Formats: sequence, C-alpha cells, structure tokens
Amino acid sequence: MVTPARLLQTGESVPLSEITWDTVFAVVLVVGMSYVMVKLANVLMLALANRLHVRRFRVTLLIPIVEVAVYAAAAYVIVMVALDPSQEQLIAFAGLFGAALGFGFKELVTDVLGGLAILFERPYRIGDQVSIGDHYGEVVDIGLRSTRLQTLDDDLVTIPNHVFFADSIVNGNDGNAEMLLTVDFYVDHDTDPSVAARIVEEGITTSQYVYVTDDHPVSIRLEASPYYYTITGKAYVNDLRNETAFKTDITKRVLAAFDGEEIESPQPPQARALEAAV
Amino acid sequence: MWELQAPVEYKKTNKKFFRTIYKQGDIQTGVRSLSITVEELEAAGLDEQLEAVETAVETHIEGTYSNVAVVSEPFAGREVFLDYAEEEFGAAAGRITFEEVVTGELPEFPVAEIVLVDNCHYLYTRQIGGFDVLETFLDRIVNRDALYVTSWNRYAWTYLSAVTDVQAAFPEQIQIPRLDANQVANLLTTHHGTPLPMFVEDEDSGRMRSVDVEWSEFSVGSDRTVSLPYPELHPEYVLSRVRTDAEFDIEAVVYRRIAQLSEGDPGVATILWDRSIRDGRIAPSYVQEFDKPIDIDHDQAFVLEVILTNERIAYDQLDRVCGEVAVDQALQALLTQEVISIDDDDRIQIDPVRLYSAVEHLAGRQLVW
Repeated sequence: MVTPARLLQTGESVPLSEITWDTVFAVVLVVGMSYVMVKLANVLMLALANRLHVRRFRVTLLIPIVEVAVYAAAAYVIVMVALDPSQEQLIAFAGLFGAALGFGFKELVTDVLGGLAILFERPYRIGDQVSIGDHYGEVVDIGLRSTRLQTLDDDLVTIPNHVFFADSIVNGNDGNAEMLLTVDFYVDHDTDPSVAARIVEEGITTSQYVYVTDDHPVSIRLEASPYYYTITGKAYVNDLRNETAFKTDITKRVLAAFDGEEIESPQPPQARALEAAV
Repeated sequence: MWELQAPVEYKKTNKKFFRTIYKQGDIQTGVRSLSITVEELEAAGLDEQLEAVETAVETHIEGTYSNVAVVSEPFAGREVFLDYAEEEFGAAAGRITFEEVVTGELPEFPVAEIVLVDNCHYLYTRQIGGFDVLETFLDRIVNRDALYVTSWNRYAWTYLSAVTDVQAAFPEQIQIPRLDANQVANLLTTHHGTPLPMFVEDEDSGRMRSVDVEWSEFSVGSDRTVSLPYPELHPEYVLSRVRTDAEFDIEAVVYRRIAQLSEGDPGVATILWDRSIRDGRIAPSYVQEFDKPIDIDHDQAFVLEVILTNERIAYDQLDRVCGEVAVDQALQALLTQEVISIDDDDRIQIDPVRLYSAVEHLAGRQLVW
C-alpha cells in the first residue's frame, strides 16, 4: 500500500500503472502545501517589506523567486518522487504536451515563459511603478502566469506575462523608492515668469515628500506660449507611494503662493478679447 | 519622564492645549545642558578638526577667502569649536548665536575681524519664501572682509546644499566625524574621570548579538548593483562569553554599543553613558534599553524631521513650517514614544538618547539623507 507519508518520507517511486488514490492524495497534498507555503511566505515578506519603508525592494525582490522555487520543488516532488515516470512515459508526456501546446495551451505556456523571463531579466519587480500598455500602477504581484498592477484609482489590473515579449514596459523607478515626477503650472503672460518659477521651485524643494540630492536634483523649465507661460517642475518623490500626495502638496502650496503674489492663471483668448473690448 | 493625561481632548494647533497637556513631569536633558569640552573632543581624536579652524584663520590672514562652516549632528559639540575659536582669537573675534528660527530682518553682526555665528540652520524655514533670510546672510558674508566661522546642523546643511548654493559660500567645511568605538571609549573615560563604573553583564544582555546582519552593495556587471546581506561578527561579545577575564570584553561591548546608538556623536555618547550608569555599574543591556523602534506615520515623521533639522524649535514655528500636518497629534505620538522632549522655554527637541532611532527611521523614509 502506498501512503502519502511513505511517499514523502522515503521518496519511494511508484510506476504510473500503480497510481492509487493515495498517490493522488499525496499529489494534492503537495500542491496544497506548496500553495499555503507560498501564500504564507508572501504575507510574511510583505509585512517585513512594509516595515522597511524605502528599503522594501530588497525583500519584495525575493517574493517571486521564492514562489517559483517552492512550486518548482513541488513539481519535482510530484513528478520524480510520487509518479516517477519511465523514459517511455516521459517521451509520451512530452508528445502530449507538444500537442496541447498546439491545440490551445500556447498562451498559458507563453505566459509562464514570460513569467520566468520577468523573474530573471527583471524589467520590473514588486513595488515598482510601471506603465504596461494602457495601464499605469504599482506592481503588487508577479505570478508565473500574470502580473498584477494596482492603479492610482485603486483598481487591480491583471496583465498576462506574455506582454513582456510583445509590449513595451515603462518602469518609473527600477527598484528604487524615489521616482522622478513632473508638475505643470500655467500662468498668465502679465505675470513675471521668474517670480512664478521661483515659487514653483521653492514649492517643490520644501515639500515634505521631496527627495533631493546631487544625483536627484530639482529642475524647472519655463516655456512661453502665445497666451501663457508653462512652468514645469521636475523632482524626485521620496517614496513612489507618495506620488499623489507629492503632486497635491506642491500644487496646493504653489497656488496659495501665486494668490499671495497676485499671479493669475491664463485666460482663454476669447475672454481677453472681451476684456479688451470692455 | 513625560506623562500624557488621558483622555486627551484634541484641538488642532491649540497652543494652550499644547502647553497644558505636554508640560507635565520632569524636564528632560536638553541641548543647553550638554557639556562637551575641548579636552574631551581632543581626547576623542578631533584635534585635527579643531586645528582646521586655526588653519582657516591663518589662510584668511594671508588674504585667501576662507569662510568656515562647522557641520555636525545635533548635540555633537560644534559650539565647542566656536568656543575654541573665541578663546583662541580673543578680542579679534565677535560672536552671535541664533537660538531660534530667524524671520524678517537679519540682525546686525558684531564688527570684528573674525565673526563667529552659531546655529546658522535657523536662517531658513522649509516653506515657500523661507530662504530669503539665508540668502541675505550669504550675500552679506561674501561682501565683507571679515572671516565668518559658522556652525550648522548636518541634516539641514545636507538639505541646503542640495537646494541652494550654501556650500559655495564656505570654502572651508569642517565635518565633525562620527566617532568609532575606540574614540568613544577615550571620550567617555576623559568625560567620566576615575574611577570608572564597574562593567557588568546581567542576565539580559539586550539585543547585543554575536552576529548581526548588515547590508552591502555589490556590483553586478558594469552598471548594476545589488544589495546583499552579510553576517558581521562581534568578536568582543563572543569572547566575553568564553573568556574568564570577561570584564575587559564587556567594557568593549559597552563602548561599541554606545558608539552605535549615539551614531558616534560625542554629546549623545556622553548622555547615553551618564544615563546608563546605575549604582556605579554599567552593562550592555542598560545601554541597549535606549534603542527602541519608532512607530509613526509619514506626517509624524515629517514633524520629527523638522525638529531634527532645527534641533530646538518653538511650537508656533513648527506649526507654521508643517502647514496642514496635524502637529499636535504628531507631537503626542512622539512624546508618548519618548522621542522628543520640551525644555523650560517650551522649545521642542529630540531626546538625545533617541537620536539614533530617529535618524534611522527618517533615513528609512528618505526624509533625511
């Protein structure tokens, strides 16, 4: 009688012809245990990562690696220890696998290969802020088949991993907590642009969310259009999770300072013409 | 120790609330009570930095423009450097000390060949329009013939160096370095005098471990680096477990812990030392008790950062800089965790023994760098 405990403890092999319900139970047990281990490891590593704040990427980097390692070990135990197929059976299985690929599992296999490629090539990692196709958000999970993004609207988007082969991926931070952001302000032509630019610069450099060093400078660009000036501030937020708060903080304080200096927002050309006529 | 009255009726930016609720219990040791001396700094091996002040004056006398910025962690004793300069140069030196954030007009400076200016980090506030006084100051010092020897908070200096050209105005920058364990030992033996307290090891040796996990950057290929953990052995602690003459090794452990928890800061090291001595005995675990993690959110961390970069700040000024942040709630959280204290003048400051925890937390959030 082949029991699951015997299989796991002794590593005894069972020919496919002798597969019993106990063997099936052992396989299910291994799959279930590996699933629980992966989920538990994810929860623990994410909890640890969140305690590390900006250094969380050191831990989140390991999450998909642990996941693949556990599932690979489970697959090995199931195939080589519990089932132990003969060479002929392996060849037959490979033939069936090839046929399945051709008939409909191609996407799934491409997704898994994409997952492995993401794991080793690291175009992004858990915690990164990325754009994939039309979606922009924080990577919250990298699975073997798909990647999950949490958008700024708190939507959870599941993206199959095969897009790694077909689509361009934009990574905003590449494993760092800080991320470059831009904020635009538009002011009327009657404004002194240097005063407005200075307010924008100080609004950025005094934000509680800014990260500014010699390697991460704040820069200001001033552009003149026929009816208004555009002032673009570029700076690094100290943690990409503060992206929205950073932009909001800068915008609120800069607009308040504009009010104090009587710096006006640009008016549409029609309104200007009307004002001139009056 | 500070004690909060519960339940606390929260009123945002209510100064009366702030005074009545928080002004309870004993006043903790503050900046003014630090008493680092020139002798102690020399014993710690900082004579090179002290001599740098003299060298800067000589360079100035020779006609080279050489304003000096003495930059250090809070409590590290940079005022001692200016005391030293004042004593060295006597009547040729005039001194002005900023005790709080300067707003409005910059005060007149003493007319002297050498002008000593303490706490220049009070010349800016972290808000729009908050750099005007600093710019006036920088304009003033480049247009005068006098030599300016100034002192700055390290975190404020790093921030200002990134967002202004402050470093360009000070060709001579003297950084008070972090002391290693041997330097801390020399400092504390000079500070304490003889006889030293008895070094003991109690049952609970705190979080001192034989091996700690440290992180280091390793290059992978030409343009990539990865951070990997590596074990760091604490040999003196391991030896103290196996050798019979354990007292000597425990002494080394105590100094090492103080060096680590003080960030090598002379002022903090002496305070940690003084507070860790119990009935003439000191143990690693007594020192370790001051290493407590801080649990605060980002807004509260920002309030802590403003306190750290100002060193001592009045409630009104803190409230103005922090804008929409709920300052009272942040102060309550920081007081409850004994991270900050309030002195007789209602000035808020970091408790020196929590400097390490505070800096570690803020660096983890990239609020200081």
